[in-house]
This record gives sequence, structure tokens and C-alpha cells, in this order.
Amino acid sequence: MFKKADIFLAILLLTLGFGLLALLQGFSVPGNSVAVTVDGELQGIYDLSDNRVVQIESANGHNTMEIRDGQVSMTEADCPNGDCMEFGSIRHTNQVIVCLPNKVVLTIRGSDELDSISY
Amino acid sequence: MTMNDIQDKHTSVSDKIPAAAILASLALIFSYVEFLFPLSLGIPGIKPGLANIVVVVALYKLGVRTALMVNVTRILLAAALFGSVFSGLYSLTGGLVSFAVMAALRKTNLFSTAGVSMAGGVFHNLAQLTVAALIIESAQILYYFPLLLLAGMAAGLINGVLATWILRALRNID
Repeated sequence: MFKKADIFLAILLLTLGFGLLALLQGFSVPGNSVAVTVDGELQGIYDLSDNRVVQIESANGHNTMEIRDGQVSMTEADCPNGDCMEFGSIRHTNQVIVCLPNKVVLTIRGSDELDSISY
Repeated sequence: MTMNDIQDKHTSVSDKIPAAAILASLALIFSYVEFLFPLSLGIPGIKPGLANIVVVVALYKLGVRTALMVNVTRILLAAALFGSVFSGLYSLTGGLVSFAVMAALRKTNLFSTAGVSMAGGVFHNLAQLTVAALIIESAQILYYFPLLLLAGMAAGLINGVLATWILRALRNID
């Protein structure tokens, strides 16, 4: 069923996929804050140590983000499929939650020192 | 409509329309089943893409033009019936890029059907991820690049193996 080129491509993809995954895991540490951007514009940065609920208004709709015990999750969205709520909770640097229809992005950030390494 | 219509590669495009219509309906049903029972794997948007089994079968059985017709028909109908303009455009991007890659790789004759489908799955996800990054004007979403690459690979491979079995069964039908 398989040919040589299949195997070669599969090994290439597996190496790339798992390699990058390992690299991301390696740089991943618990973050300090969450950055909220709407349509590419930074709306605000919130400290992860403060439990709070943040309402995010965008041109296309409305989202609700919750910070609890150092973790961030999207708890409400008025988009049709609600994909962003399925991301679960994020807490490590560079992890993201995206709401595509509303163009809302939540990104976990580390301290400045860590930022300079991971960006 | 008999299996002969699907079998015959020498018919004109208009002769393939009935077969294309039936395959598009079949692909649409696969999409609908995935819509009704979405997988929840932690990353939204990851799904098996079973409709692509039909597209791969069409590509090998009916050729590039008819398979493209099946693919685009399925995507537009799925968007109209249980999607949105947004999901339709998004799905069209992934569908067309993966189709172009599969059609090109098939032509090289270097890859098996399963290998072609595997590459199609990967490029489908990467195309959608790129569009997503452009829409939200943020490269942060590329964090999911490795996971989507591996997920696309797995889905494409499984669909490709299933398509290979179906093609094998169809070969024996006159």
C-alpha cells in the first residue's frame, strides 16, 4: 500500500511535528499575565494572580474571559460555534486561545526576561 | 446510473456529472455526521475530515476536474446547509489547498493514495492555520502549528487508507 516516498514524507513530518512540539514544551513555563488582542490591537494585559472576569467587546461580538488560579479560559462567546470555549484553560507562556469570528486572541505572557528568550 | 459511469475514465465531463453528484452527496453526509458529532480533543477545529475519503476516491477514479467539482460542491453545500459564510470560506481555503497538493502529488506517481491523502491532510490544516493567523492579524496562533501538522497527518493517513480500500473494491466492480 505504501511507497518509499510515503515513508520519507511521513518521517519528515513526524520529525518536524514532534521536534517543534518538544521545542515548544521546552520553552514552556507558567506565565505571569495574559494579553488580550482584538483585531491585532492590544486591548489589555491582566495579571494571572488576580482572579477576575473580563468582558471583551469587539466589532463582531462579545467574549468573556475568566482568570482563575493562574489559568485563563474563555467562558462565553456569542460566535456561532463557540470553538474558543473548547480550548480549555491555558497557563503556560505562548499558549493561546483564539476566537476567529470575533478576532479575539488571548496569549499567556511570561516575565520580561522570559519574553526575550521565547520571542 | 451504474458503477460503469464511475468506472469509465474516458467519458466526457458531462457524463461524469451523475457520479460527481452522488459522490458530492456522500461527502456532504460525511460532513454532516461530523457536524452532528464533533470531536472534542482540546483543540477546536480538529476533525477527521471523512468527506476527504470521497474526494480522494473521486480524484483517483474520476480525475482531477470531476474530483474538484465534488470537493467544491460539498464545501459550498455544507456551508449553506449547516455552516456559515465564515466557515465556508475557511473550509474552502483548506479544501482547495489540500486538493491542489493532492492533485500535484498524484501526478508525480511517487506517492501511494494513502501518502497523497496524508500530505493533503497536512496542507489542509496548515492552510487554515495560515488563514486564521491572517484573519486575526496575529502570529501567536502558530503555536498550534506542530499539533495541527500531526493531526492533519494522522487524519489524512487514515482517510487515505480507507480510500485505498474503497478504490480496491471499486476496481473489482465492472
